[in-house]
Amino acid sequence: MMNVKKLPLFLLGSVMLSALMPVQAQRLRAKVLLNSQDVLDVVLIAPRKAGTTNIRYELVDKEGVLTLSLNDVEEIRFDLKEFKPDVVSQLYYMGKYEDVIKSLARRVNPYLGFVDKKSNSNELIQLFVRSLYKSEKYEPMTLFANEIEKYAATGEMREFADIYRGLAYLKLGDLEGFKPYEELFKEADYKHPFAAPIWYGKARQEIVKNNWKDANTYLAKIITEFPMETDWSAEALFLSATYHHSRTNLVVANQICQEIQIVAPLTDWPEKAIELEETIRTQAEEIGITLVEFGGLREREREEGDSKIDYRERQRKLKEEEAERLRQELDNAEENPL
Amino acid sequence: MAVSPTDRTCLSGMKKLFLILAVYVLLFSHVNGQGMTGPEQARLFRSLRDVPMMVTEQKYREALTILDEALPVVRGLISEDPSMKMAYGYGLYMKGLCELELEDYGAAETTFTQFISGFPAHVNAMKARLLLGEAYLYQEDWEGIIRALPGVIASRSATFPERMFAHQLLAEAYFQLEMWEKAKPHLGWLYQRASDREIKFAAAGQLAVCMIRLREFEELYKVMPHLHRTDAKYDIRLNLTILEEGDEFLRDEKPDLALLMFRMVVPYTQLQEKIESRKFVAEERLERLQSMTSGGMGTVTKQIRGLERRLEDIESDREELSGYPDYDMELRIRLGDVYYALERWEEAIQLYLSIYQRRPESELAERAMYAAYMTAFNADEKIRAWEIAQRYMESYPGGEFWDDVTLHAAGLLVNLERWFETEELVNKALEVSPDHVMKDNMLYLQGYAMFMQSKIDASIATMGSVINDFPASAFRIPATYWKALGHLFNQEYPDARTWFGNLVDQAQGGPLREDGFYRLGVACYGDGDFAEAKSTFDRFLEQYPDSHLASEAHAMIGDILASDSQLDEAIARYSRAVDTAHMGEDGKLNMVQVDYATFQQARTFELEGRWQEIIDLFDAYNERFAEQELNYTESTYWKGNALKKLGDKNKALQLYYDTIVSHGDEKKAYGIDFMMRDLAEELNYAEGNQELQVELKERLNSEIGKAIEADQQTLLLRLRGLQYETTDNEEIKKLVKELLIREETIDIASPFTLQQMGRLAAADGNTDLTSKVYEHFLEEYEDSDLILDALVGLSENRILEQKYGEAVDLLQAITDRYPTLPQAADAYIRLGDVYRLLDETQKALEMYTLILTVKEWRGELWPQALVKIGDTHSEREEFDKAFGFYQRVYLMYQGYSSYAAEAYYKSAQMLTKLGRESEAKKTIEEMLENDVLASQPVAADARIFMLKLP
Repeated sequence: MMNVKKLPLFLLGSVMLSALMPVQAQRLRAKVLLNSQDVLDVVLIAPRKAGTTNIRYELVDKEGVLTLSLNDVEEIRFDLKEFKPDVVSQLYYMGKYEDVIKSLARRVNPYLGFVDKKSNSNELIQLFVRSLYKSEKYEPMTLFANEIEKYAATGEMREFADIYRGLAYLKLGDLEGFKPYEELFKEADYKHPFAAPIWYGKARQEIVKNNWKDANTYLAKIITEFPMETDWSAEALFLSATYHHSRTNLVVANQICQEIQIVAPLTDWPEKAIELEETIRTQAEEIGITLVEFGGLREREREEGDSKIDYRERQRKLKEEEAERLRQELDNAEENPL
Repeated sequence: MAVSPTDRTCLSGMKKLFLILAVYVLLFSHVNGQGMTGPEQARLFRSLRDVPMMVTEQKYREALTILDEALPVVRGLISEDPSMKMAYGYGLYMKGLCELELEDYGAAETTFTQFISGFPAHVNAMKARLLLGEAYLYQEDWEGIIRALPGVIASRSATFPERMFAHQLLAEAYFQLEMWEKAKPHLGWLYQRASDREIKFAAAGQLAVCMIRLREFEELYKVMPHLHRTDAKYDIRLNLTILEEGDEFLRDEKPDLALLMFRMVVPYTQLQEKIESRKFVAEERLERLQSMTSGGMGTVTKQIRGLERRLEDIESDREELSGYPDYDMELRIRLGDVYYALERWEEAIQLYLSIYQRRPESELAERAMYAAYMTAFNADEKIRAWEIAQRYMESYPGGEFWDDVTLHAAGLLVNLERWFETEELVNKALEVSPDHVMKDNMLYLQGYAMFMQSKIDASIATMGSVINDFPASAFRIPATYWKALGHLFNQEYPDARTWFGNLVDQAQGGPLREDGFYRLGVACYGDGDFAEAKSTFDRFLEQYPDSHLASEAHAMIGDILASDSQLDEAIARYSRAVDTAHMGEDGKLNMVQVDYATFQQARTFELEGRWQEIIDLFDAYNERFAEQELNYTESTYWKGNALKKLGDKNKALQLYYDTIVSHGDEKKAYGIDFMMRDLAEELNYAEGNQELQVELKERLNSEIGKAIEADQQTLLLRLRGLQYETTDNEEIKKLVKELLIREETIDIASPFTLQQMGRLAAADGNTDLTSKVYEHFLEEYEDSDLILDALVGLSENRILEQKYGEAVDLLQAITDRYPTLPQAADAYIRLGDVYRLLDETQKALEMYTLILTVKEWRGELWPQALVKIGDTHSEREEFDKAFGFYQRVYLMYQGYSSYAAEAYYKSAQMLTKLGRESEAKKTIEEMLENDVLASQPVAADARIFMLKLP
C-alpha cells in the first residue's frame, strides 16, 4: 500500500476535520441492481463497516432488517435529489469550492461505504474531493482520500483518490512526497477516465522542475482534448499563457488570456487572465509589439465607449449573481429535502 | 426543440376539466327541451349530450359527426334564444378539439379561430389559443403561432403549464423563422424555469444556437460549460450549427472565432452513440406500450403517439448527422489549422498527430501527419519535426507528400548537422521515389552531407551528378562550388582550379562566386603556381575589395611574397590584411584574420631578427585591439621572446610572470602555457645565473601563496606545475605530484596542467586517469598547441583497450593536424599497426608506404616503415615480397643498426619459409660478422635460429 506522507498542518481546513468524524447510522433510499436483472427498491443502512462486504437494508414498504452482500450488487442508484447534484456541480465549475464543500461535508460520508461499487454517489464524492483539492485544503483532502481507500482498495475510485493525493504533493512542489504516486502519472490515453488530471499532474511535475516547455505539451493535451472541462482547461490555458509570456511570446500569451475570459467566464481564471493581460499589454507597448485581439473581446468593449462598465467588475458581478442564485437553490433544497 | 403532443400533457388535465364542464353545459343548459319542436331536433340534442363522453372515450369521429350536424342548428337558434350561444361556444370548442385529435389541423385552425373571435372572453379562450397554436405547429405555420400566442404569455390568468407551452410554441416558431433575437427570451424562460429536463436542455441547446447566430460569445460561454455537463450537448442541430459557423469563420480568416466554435463540438462518435441509445430506449418503451394497448387506454395511446413522434425526430437527427459523415477527423484538422493560424504550435501538432493515432487508416491521417511535420518545422522544433518525418516515412512510403517531406527532412538534418542520417535519408527517398520532384536538391544535400563527413570523393561524385544530370538546375552552381572545394580538400589542385574557374565564369555573382574566386587563388597556390595565385588574389581584391575574405587574400599574397623573400612587401600585405579584417554585424572584428596576419608579420620580422619591430608590432596590436577578443597572452609571449633576444631576459621573465599572474586563471589563455614552458626552462637552466634563478623561484613561491589566497584554482595548478618541473626537493615534488594528479582537478586545469597530469598519470601506469585527462583535453581545448600529447596518449590507451576504431580516429587527427611533423609519421606507423590488428593489411601497407613519400622523414623513420611493410607482407604470407623489403633495409640503412639487425634476422626467416635454408644461414652469418649488428639484442635470437637450420 502506498505510504502517504503527512502534509503540512497549516494547510488544514478548519471545516474539514468535522467532515471526517464518524457519522451515526443513516438510512439511504436506493435502487439496487442485482446480478444484472433484479432491481430492489431498498433503504440501505449506512455506514458500512470497512473491510466487510455486507450491508444492512430494509425493503421499502416492508418491515424487518435484512443483510445484503455487496458482492452481488452491480449498481446502486441512490436517491440524491436532496443534494441537488446539478447545482453543486455548477457551483464547482464556477470555482465556488467552499460552497460545494459546505454543501457536501459530512452529508456524503455515509456514501463512502459504496465507493467500491458502481454508484451515482461516487460522482458527489469525487466532486467533494476535487473541491477540497481546488481550494488547497490538502490535508483534509488526503484524509478523506484515505477513507476512500479503506473501502476501495482497488478500482476506479481508489485510482481517483491516489491521483488527487499525488496532485496535492505536486501543488506543494514536494516531489519526494509525490514519488509513491508517480507510477499513476505515466502516459495516459485520452480515453482514460482521469486523463485530464493525469496530464495536469504531468505538467505540474515539469513545472516543479522548471521545465516549462515539456509542461506545455501536457497543457496542450488538456486544452485540445478537454476544452469544455473548464476546471482543467481554464487553468491549463492560464499556465500556457504564462509559459508563452515567459518566452516573450506576447501575441500568443495575450490571445490566450482573452480566450480564457471568453470561454471560462464563470471560473476564477478570467480575473487572473485579466491581470496577466495587463502586464502583457504594458510590456508590448514598451517593446513596440502590436498585439492581436482574440474573439473581438476588447473591440466590443471599445464600442461600448463611455457607457462601458469595467469589464472585470462586470464579470465578477455576473458570477456572484449566478452563484447567489445557486446558493439559494441549495439552501432551499436543504430546508425542504423532499 | 420539437414541440410534440407529449408536451401537451400539461394540457390533458385541463382538457378533462373542459369536457366535464361541456357535459354539464350541454346536458343541463336550459337549451334542453326549450323551443324544441320537431323529433329531428330532439334526436340531435339527445345525441349532442353524448358528445362529451365520446370525446372522453376518444371517439372523435363520432363526436365530430354529431357536432357538424348540430352546431348549425344551435347557431340558428341563438337569435331566438340567446342562451343557446353558450351551448354553441362549447360545441365549437369541442369541434376544434376533435378536429385536432383527428389531425385535421386546417379544420381545427378554422374552428378555433372562429371560437376565439366569437367568444374572446370565453372561459376556454386561453386554451383555444394554445390549441390553435398547436394546430399551427403541425402545419408548420410559424407566423400563425406568433399571431396567436403572445396573448397567452401576456395574460395574467394563464397558468404555469399554459405559459410554458406558449413559450415552447413561440420559441419554436421564432427559431424556425431564424428570428434568433426574438426566440431568445422564450428559450431563456424555458431554460430557467422548466422543470422537465428534456425541455430544459432542449431549450438550452436552442438558446446556444441563437447566441451563436447572434455571435454573442460571452453569453454563449456562460451557457456552454453547463450544457456540456448535460445531455443537451448532444443536440444535433446545435453541433451542426457550431460546425457551420466555425467553417464560416475559417473561410473569413477569423481563426480566433473559429476556435471559439470548434472547441465546443461534441465528437461525431459520441453524437452517433447518443442517437442510437436514444433510439434504443424509445423503441423499447414503444414496444412495451404497444403490448399493453388493448382498447380504450387513451393515455397509453397518447404516449405511443408521443414516442412515435420522438422516433421520427431521432430519425431526422440521424439523417441530418449522416450529411456530415465522420466529421471528427475533419474537425481535428480544422482545429489544428486554427491553432496553427494562431501560432499555437503545440496544440496544432497534437491535434494533427491525434488523427493518425486514433484513425491511422483514415484518408486524412497522412495529410494530418504532414501538417504536424510542417508545424513542427515552422515552429523551429527541429528534433520533433525529424521524429514526425521519420514516422511519416515509415507509415507512408511513396505517399502523397513523400517528396515534400523527404526534401524538408533532408534540409532539416543538414540544419541539425546530422550528416550520416542526411545521406541515408536521401538514399531512401530516391529509392522509394526515383523520379523525386526535387531530385537535384536532394542529391545536392546528400553531396553536402558527404562533404561534411569528409567523404570527399563521394561528395565530388554526387555533386558531379547534380551538375551533369540537371544542367538547368538552380543547384548546378552550388554543386560546382562544393565539387571544386572537394578537389581542394583532396589536394587535387588542377581539378580544383578547373571547377573554381568554372564557377567564377558561370556564376552571376553571389556569395559562392566570391568565396570560389578566393579559393581559386588558394588552389593555384596549392598547385605551386604562385604567380597565378597572386594574380588571382589581386583580381579577387579588385572585384571584391570589401569581401569578408579580403583580409585572407592579402595575407595569402603576403605569404607568397614572403616565400619569395620579398619580406617588406610581405609585411605591407600582412598589414593590409589586418586593416581589411572583416567586421561582423555584431561590431566584432574577425580576430582570426587579424591574428593570422599579425603573427605572420612577427614571424617575418623574426626571420630577419627584427626584435624591436616585433615588440612595437605587439604593443600596437595590444593597444589597437584592446576592445576586441585579442590574443593578449600569445602576443605577450612574442614580446617576451623578443626582449630575451634583445638581451633583456630579466624584463622578459618578469613580463611573463606578470602576465601569468594577471591571465593565468583563464584556462584558455594558451600563451600562458608557452610562458610556463619557457619559465620552466629558465628556472632549470639559467646558465649559471644563480641570482636570477633564486629570484624567479622566490617569486614562484610568492605567487603560489597569492593564488591560494585569491582562490585562483587554474592559476594555482599552473604554478604548481611549474613548481613540480623546477624543484630540486624530492619531497616537495612528490607532494606537488599528488596535488596535480587528482581526478577532481581535471575540470579546472589548463592545457599546460592537463598535459602534465597526463604524462604523470601515464608514467604511473594509471591509464584510467590518463584517458579521463586526455578526453577532457580533446573536448575542451581542441585548438591548443599542446593537444598532441592528448591525441597520442589517448590513441595508445584506445589500442590497449582494443577500441581500434577510436584509435584510428585519434591517429588520423594527428596526421591531419600535423602532416609534416615526425609525430605524424609515428601516427602513420601506429595506424598501420592498428589496421594489422584489424586484419586490414592493405590499409596498413598504405599507411607505412605514406612515410616513404615524405623526404623529410628519410632518417630512422624510413627503415622502420620498411620493416613494418615486410612484417605486413609476412603476415599475408607473401614471404618473397617481405624478404625484398627486409633486404632493402639491411642493404640501404646499415647505419640504423637495430633495424638493420632486425631486417637480417627476418630475411633469414623469410628465406626459410621459401625453402632457401642455405641462403638463410648465409644471411645470419653475414649479420653476425658485423660487430655492431652482432651486438644488437635480436642477434641472440638469430644465433639460436641459425643453430636450428639444417
